[in-house]
Amino acid sequence: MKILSFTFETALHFSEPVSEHSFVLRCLPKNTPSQTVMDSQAIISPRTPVANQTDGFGNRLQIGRIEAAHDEFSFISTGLVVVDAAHIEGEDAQNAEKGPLASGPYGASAHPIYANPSTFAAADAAMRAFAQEASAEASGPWSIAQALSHAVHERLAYVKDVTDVSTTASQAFALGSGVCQDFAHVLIALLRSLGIPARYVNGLIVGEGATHAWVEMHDGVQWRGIDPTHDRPIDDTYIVLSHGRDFADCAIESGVFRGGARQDQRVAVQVFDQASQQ
Amino acid sequence: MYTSLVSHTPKINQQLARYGVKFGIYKNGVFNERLFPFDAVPRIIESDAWDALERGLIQRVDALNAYLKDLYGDKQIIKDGVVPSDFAFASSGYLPQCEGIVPPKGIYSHISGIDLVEGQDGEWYVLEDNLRIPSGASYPLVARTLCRRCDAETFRNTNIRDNRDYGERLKRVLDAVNCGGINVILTPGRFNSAYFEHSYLAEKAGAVLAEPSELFVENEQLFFRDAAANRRVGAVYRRLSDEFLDPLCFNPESLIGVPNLMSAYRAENVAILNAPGNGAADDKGIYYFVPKMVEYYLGETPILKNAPTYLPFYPDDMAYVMDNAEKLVIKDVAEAGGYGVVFGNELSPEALDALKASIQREPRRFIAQEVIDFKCLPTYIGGQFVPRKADLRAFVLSGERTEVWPSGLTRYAREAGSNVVNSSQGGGFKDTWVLSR
Repeated sequence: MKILSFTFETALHFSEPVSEHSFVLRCLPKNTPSQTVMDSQAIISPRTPVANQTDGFGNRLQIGRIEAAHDEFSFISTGLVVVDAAHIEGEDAQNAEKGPLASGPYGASAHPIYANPSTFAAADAAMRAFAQEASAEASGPWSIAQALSHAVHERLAYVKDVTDVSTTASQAFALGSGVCQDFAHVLIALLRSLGIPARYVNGLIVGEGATHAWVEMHDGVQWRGIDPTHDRPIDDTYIVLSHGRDFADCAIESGVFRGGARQDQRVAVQVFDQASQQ
Repeated sequence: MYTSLVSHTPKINQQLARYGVKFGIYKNGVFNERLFPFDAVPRIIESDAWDALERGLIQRVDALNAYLKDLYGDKQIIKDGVVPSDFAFASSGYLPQCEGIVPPKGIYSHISGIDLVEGQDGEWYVLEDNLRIPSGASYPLVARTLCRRCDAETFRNTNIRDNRDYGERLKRVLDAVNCGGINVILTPGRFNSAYFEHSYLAEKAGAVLAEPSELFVENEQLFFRDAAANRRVGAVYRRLSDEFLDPLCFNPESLIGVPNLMSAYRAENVAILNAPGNGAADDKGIYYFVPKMVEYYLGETPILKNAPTYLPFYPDDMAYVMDNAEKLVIKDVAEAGGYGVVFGNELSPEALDALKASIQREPRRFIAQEVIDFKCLPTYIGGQFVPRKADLRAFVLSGERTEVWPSGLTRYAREAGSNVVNSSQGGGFKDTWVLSR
């Protein structure tokens, strides 16, 4: 168990002023079986009324609209989270997962949507063959997930700026490189091709200055996190912000505005283990 | 009783053209607009026959609404194994973004278009439920008005139920679910092929016709930008499809949606007609289960029949479809508007084998149906009365209660012998007379 404090800051700079800017943020952590949010808040600039809602996936939304022209949009979220990745089962769980899509219609099983291919995480023929081969020695969903995570880690090179937010799993797989989002989409598609439900997770981790993305797979009893970019199971250094079938369901920031501006984005993330601070 | 009316056909078609009564059609990947030819020979439904049909339609739509509420809520029908989860959630119309949202008054399908045919045996069969944005009510509405103008005497001397109150019926539905504010009909714009219908219905229902750029969401409320002031919108009858509705919830590439419309909907500050996510219930694969829904939710025996349908997903049905494909109609569940509908008897042996292979590869993607031999209606083409296959789209409106508009859109096939009456495939339409006694 760890107590993590976090500061997550994103600033968008527009080359020309924009107006009528509607946005949806998923910048605050949510409670999960292994994560309890003690404290969290978001400060959005320019200042505007913000509605707090929850989407169908159980993610926390911060929703608003800025009518006036502005060339800078930023949000800072801060908070304190207790993470206990080892205690995710049954009565040990800190919080049962909430939200309509938390579980499938048959009790503990995953909701069926996570077993079907989605826009960004659908396997092609080459990926299906790759998944078969990479998991040949493994038995059981968790062991398969670890084998596939390892195979993805070997197969893909971590390279920035060769992919973007519209890159699909099969494009990244063919390219053989990408960033954490691509690693996650590829692993999700591979897992689903073997009938293992999997979902996309956005979050923050200790020791990285940017947001991170990883994967949760359902082993038939519970969701378990695995990080193909680092090829390791998630531990107490991971904070979950949002999840969905793939990136498209759970973007941390999305907006629509009037004005044809180019935008630059600066992101700063700091996650501290409170114990190691003392 | 319609003989004198028929002589006015060219004049009525001219007036329809002037109104801009047309629809869009995709052919070989190219979008074209064409006029929707009107045939003055009406479909005539006897009063008693209509009453039975009406009961069946109300029952069916009530069951479909109950299914949508359950699917996006408790999922009891899936837990009870009546609808397999493979079908319920694999449908492309199922939108997980709508999970947990209960629309105002719990109504999902406010305006339902149920497509039926009358078999040679005199029974009505439902071919398709349209619960997203079924179009076409304006065609018979405007045609009736023009027919009455041309030939008032026919309408004086025949006991036909008046259908000119569709606008008031629509207004009652909008008012029933309105969350505070004005009623709006949201059109993609004047270049949309159904723009005539959007503007006509707005006028008849006393609603404001708005284009997406005239609407915005702030503080979880939907507003219409008026010259004088911004006016709160309590109900929006949107004539654009789910994927384009809100770029911050669905397709981010959509330029015609209203950003954060879903936040106002989630907060129960606006009713969206029809509810987003309804495609989960009018999927061709879900159709098979509708009679079961009637039994499950209402505890009643279904009044209306489905065409006998097979799901290759079930091994027994797969075997039947493989053995009988040449006499069945095969439908691709992912396609709409008459596309992806193939008659086995019209395929070459090679094409039929290829189709069978596709079905075996992706059983969930197809349904197969017995070809219903449905009735022809007399149609006045080239100076003579000729028989043409015709269907009926009945409009069912659900507000405080579920009602059926005593009229409907009768579409006929252009070619003799053709079974495809969908307007996208080049047919025309007729008025539908429901007799009052």
